[in-house]
Amino acid sequence: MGKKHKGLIVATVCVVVVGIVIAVLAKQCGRDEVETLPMEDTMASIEEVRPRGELYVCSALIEDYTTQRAIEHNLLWEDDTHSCVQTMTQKCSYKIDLDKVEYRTNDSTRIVYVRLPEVEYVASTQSSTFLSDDSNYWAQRLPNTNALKRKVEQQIRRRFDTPSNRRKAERFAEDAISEVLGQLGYEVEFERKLKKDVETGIQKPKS
Amino acid sequence: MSTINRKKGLPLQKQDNLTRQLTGMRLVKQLHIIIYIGALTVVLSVGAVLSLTACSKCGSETSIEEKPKVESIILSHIKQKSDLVTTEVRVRKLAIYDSSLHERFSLKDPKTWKWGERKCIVPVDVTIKYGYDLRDLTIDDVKLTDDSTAVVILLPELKVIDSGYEAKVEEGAVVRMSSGFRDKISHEEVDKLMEMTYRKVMAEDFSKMVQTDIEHNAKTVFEGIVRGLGMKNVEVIVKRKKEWERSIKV
Repeated sequence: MGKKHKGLIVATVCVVVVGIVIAVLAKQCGRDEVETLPMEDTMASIEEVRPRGELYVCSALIEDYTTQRAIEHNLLWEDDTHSCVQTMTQKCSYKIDLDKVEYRTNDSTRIVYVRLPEVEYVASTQSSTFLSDDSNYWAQRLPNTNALKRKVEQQIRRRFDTPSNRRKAERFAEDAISEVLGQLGYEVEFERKLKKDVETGIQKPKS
Repeated sequence: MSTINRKKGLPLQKQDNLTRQLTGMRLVKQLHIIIYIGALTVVLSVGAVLSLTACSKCGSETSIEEKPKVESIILSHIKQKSDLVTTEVRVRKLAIYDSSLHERFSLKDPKTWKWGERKCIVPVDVTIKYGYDLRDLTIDDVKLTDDSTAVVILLPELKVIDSGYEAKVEEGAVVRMSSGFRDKISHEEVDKLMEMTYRKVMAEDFSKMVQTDIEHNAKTVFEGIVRGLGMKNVEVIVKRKKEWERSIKV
């Protein structure tokens, strides 16, 4: 092979290498940052207005996260380990449905006997963030993050919805109902409490 | 005397022309070979890069492992409340991100050297629960008329009791597009867009638009309580406390 040929081959290889380097640089230059995400202005529309009759008796703000790790096996080079984190902040509350509250009155004594329903756990998402080492990889690997979010929601529920918190919420619900009915001029007795008193043998002092 | 090539018997001028033509043809042939080799090298290099990438991926097997659960962080302790929710409003807003509308090319700034576009549309469902803090309701705010035919309830300031958004995405409803050398629309960005949209919805005040519904529903809730207490023929009247106080002053 002549000198000219060798020179031309070297030049072609150089052009190819430079091309690849430029392509990689262009890809790096064009990288997008999540922090600078401009959003278009759109109209918010009211889809539904529903009547409710619920009493929120307590709430707390809880944050949790879950992680996932994936090992990518490559034939030609070392395996890659990718990880991602899904965080979520929820406002957890207990509520009672006022439609399910039962009242029994005794007008002569102005005492109302109230049976409260079970307190219900409710959570509303305040923020949700996904973090990963390689966003392109995870965009391909996971079609969506719903499963991770569901997992975090369960963790938050497990953390908040405990028997002791439920008992606390029941007490708060009794306080709230007593306050409202007290303003209507009634003295309130809770049936659950009455039953407990009977079980424990505590007798109410006669007035 | 004319110069004659003694071997072939051609005049020297003609022989020179022939030699020049032959050299030219040889050069063109060489050029063709060079172009061919060059093209072959380019094709081979690109092919090698592509096959290397493909090979490395085709044999890949992904195993997913989950780290043990770490305990949740309680951002605020349990707060006792007495909030009455009378109305739930579901608001939908589209989160739209279109890179072509915001990005400008500048030779000086390599960060702006981006080839391609990115677009994303995510519908966000926000739920807002409106109502009243019953602890703002004092004994003076519940009045029974002298003839016991009506109960007047003076409603305190309307407030947002609870709000939140559906963080789980409905896959069919989400649009993700990216062209050229641009990154795919990531989960990070979808989450960020949704959260930003939620904040925007909460910055808007919808309470004025549904205030009548909220008050009407409050009346229904109080009627339920009053009827439950056995006051069947008592009318329930709800009034805004502020307006009531203003009317008394006048």
